[in-house]
Amino acid sequence: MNSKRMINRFSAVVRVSHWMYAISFITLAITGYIVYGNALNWMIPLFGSIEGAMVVHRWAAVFLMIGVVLPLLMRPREVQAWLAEIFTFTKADFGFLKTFPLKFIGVKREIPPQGFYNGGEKVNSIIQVICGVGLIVSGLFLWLTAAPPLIMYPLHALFFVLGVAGAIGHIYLAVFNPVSNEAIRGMISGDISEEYMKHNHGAWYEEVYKAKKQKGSA
Amino acid sequence: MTRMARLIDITRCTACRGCQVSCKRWNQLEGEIGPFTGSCQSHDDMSPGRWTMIKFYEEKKSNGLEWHFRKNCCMHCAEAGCLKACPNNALVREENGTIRRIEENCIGCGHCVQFCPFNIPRIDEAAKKMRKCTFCYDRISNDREPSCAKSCVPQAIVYGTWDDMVRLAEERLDQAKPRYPRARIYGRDELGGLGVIYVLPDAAANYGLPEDPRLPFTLGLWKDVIHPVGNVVLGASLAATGLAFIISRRNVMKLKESAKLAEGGYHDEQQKND
Repeated sequence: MNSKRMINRFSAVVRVSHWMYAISFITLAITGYIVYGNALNWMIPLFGSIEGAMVVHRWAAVFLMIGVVLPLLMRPREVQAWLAEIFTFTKADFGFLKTFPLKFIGVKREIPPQGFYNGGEKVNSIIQVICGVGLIVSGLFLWLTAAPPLIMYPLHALFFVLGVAGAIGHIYLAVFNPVSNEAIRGMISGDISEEYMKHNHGAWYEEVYKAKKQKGSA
Repeated sequence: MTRMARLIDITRCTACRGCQVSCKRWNQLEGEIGPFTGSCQSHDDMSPGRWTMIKFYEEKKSNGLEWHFRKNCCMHCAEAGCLKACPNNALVREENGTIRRIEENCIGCGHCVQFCPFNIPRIDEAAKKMRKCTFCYDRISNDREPSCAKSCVPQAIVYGTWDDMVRLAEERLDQAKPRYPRARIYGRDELGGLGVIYVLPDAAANYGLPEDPRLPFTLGLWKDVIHPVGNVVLGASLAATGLAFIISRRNVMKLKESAKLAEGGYHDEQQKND
């Protein structure tokens, strides 16, 4: 019975912003690639024309930025905690990353107790935070200034490549990889079972457990 | 076909603007009346409907007014920044050296505007298309000279093969030297050779031309480094995740089939608990 107890991992605001960001990111990646290269040119009719794709690109950019601003305004402390945690790497994180190559091909290994975010989630967060800021800043320059600094063109392409490559890995691990895709529940319903928490976020579990115990005894 | 070029001999140009008019006529561009620019220049700048114009560069000096002018139009560069920056193959280099725009591919994004060293392309915002001098591609591919060259009375604009135009420019330079000791040829060595070879009476800077035009390094960084490497990175990440997907499925299947079932993944444990 104990193993069925659920615990809230991500608040509704965080989940809604995550999926707003995700949907607009994919839309932006597709419409952006139509201009960047030729492999997705068969998708042009979906947007009417390349010009149509560029209009969709700008609207999707607005939604993506809302996905960034929303949690900053509504859940600033959660965002702050996230940013603070992803840039601090502990021994446990490196221990996780050592098992990552095997995990990537579906072999599960014992991992040192992880915090709220595991080492892999931290790496993904860092890639997406840096690329997101880079893409938004360079994109706004390209969109809103008549003569943007020329470096913005290669920068937008660079962050596009890094961000999309990171996102491909992220989507694979969250949806298609059979040993890591359990984590996606936390981002859909927001709740994860205590059992899963104990196994995959041991350090975080201890933290919560201790806090509960202290509350109980007080 | 050999590369063609225009010689524009500013030492002979009288700034009559005949080329400006004939360009409009042949290309059926509407006349535009602009405000007085404060100089002899007809309009303040090039526009989507003004592909060539005589630009005036007047300078007050102690010994009076120094008066420079130059016929400005697309140079059809050998190393064309516009062509490299275009994301949609809307610009092509024809065998005769014309940098030709393909109407249906052009989306008016303006990348070419940013990366042209001579600030030539203009965006027609209503049509969402870039417009610039076509080198009268329709005329020259039918063995006619460009309309600007045809209308030029003092033969300041001459059309011919690139090699002939360089030779003629050297001849004209020799003729001009006694009158204009600082005269020079511009366009022979710049950017791999321009499709316009100027004979300038004075230094390039007096005619609004960059002394040493170069493509911005950001363009090379973008199109020669990030683009090709980026394509490899994207392809590799797709391939790697696709492959890992297949391998991980097989690994998990193996695990499920084997005796390790009891101590398998989290799913198994959960199913056991149900």
